[in-house]
Amino acid sequence: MSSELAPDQTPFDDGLTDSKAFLTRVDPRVKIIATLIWSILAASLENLAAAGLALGGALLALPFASWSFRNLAKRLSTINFFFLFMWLTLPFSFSTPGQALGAIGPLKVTLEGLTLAALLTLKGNAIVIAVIAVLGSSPLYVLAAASRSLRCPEKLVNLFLLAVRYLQIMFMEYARLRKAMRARGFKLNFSRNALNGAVFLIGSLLVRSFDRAERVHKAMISRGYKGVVWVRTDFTLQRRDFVFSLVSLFLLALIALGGFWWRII
Amino acid sequence: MHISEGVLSLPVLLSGAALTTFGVALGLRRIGDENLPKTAVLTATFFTASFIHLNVGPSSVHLMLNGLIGLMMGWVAFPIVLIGLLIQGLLFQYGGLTTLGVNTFNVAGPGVLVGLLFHKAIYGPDTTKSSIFSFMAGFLAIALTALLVCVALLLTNPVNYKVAALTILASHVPVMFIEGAVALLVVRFLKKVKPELLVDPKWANK
Repeated sequence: MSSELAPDQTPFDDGLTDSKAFLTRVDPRVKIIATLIWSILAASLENLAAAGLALGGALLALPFASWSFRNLAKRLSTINFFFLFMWLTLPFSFSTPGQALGAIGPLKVTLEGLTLAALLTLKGNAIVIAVIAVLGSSPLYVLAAASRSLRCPEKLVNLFLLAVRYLQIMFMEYARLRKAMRARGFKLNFSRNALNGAVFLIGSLLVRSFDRAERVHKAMISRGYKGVVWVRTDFTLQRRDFVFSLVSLFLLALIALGGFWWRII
Repeated sequence: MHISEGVLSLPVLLSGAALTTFGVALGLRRIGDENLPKTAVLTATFFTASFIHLNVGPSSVHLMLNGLIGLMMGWVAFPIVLIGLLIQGLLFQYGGLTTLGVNTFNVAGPGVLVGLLFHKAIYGPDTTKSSIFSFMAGFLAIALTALLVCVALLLTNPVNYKVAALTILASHVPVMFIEGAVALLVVRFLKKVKPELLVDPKWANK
């Protein structure tokens, strides 16, 4: 799991959205649809070759998005931590008659277990890298606006937009409280003292945010809020969107074919 | 606690998505336009609170607070958790798009359940009863979430995911106690400091 955020760090300034990158300029509606189909297809793959192909396809998108190596590594390490766990359990616990490759102490290592762990890792990374490259290159509010024009429930989109805006403020509030605790020598280990500290932190956050919510609501009403959060939704398809769609379709077809072909033989 | 991309089978992913869609639809219906900003601020708060890590031995657990969310928000927990996981998925890649349905249901479902079951006892004037039930709410919510994660894994691959599923379940036993204690203490704190946060049945538990 990831470590705690540094007090001054917010998760939002990751500098991944560079407006010059090709994928940033592609219509976000097209990107959402393509990533969804890609994710579902990749999740349903059942053989190593097709999963490897999917990972290759996802990696292909990276040069067209802006990303820093540090950020990518940080993001990939979170998901691969889970897969590390799968690598540590699956090869030793495969109970259908597996082909034993060798043994580490009393534990038998099976080929099937290793294959499954490899398959999961390839699939998972293929999906996550595609999400990072394609969706990660758009700011969250642009994605929200796009999903509204894709007929996503309006209330959900509004909630998302407002939540994203308030997250930054809540994070600052949290950082301030944490800093105050740190200055007084608080360490959040598992002791009665620390537990009380954590509870005070959560409780204060909730109480402060509730008060803030009331103020925000009054402020919004006084500025004519009637349940609509305004965002730009005047997207128009351009040539680069068709280029992106064609390339995505080609890759999707290739991988679907790879997945199916395997089943036939 | 979140299941990664690429692990679950398509039928499991789709069932999770269907259950979550149902829960989110119910939750959204309970949010009136006038409560939208309030819900958004609380969503941001719960998301922020999930960054609090407690060091336990060599590792650290982060709080999920799904019992507390269920208690305070009722069915609205579904959209709140969905948005939290979506932002998390887009910004940090803990989970992702295909697992969003399953993960939202695993976290929000138990929260809503304990909220519906216990909120009367917890909101009541009896302090002992309130403490016991708020501990239970925090404890059970995590226990059920861990159980649902196991079920999702076992439905995908009943034989080979068994060890992984059992390891996940076992590793969450200490988390259950921590979340139980946190829920108990937070409820006690809120009752003292801002009781109206716990008695606003107009837009939560109904």
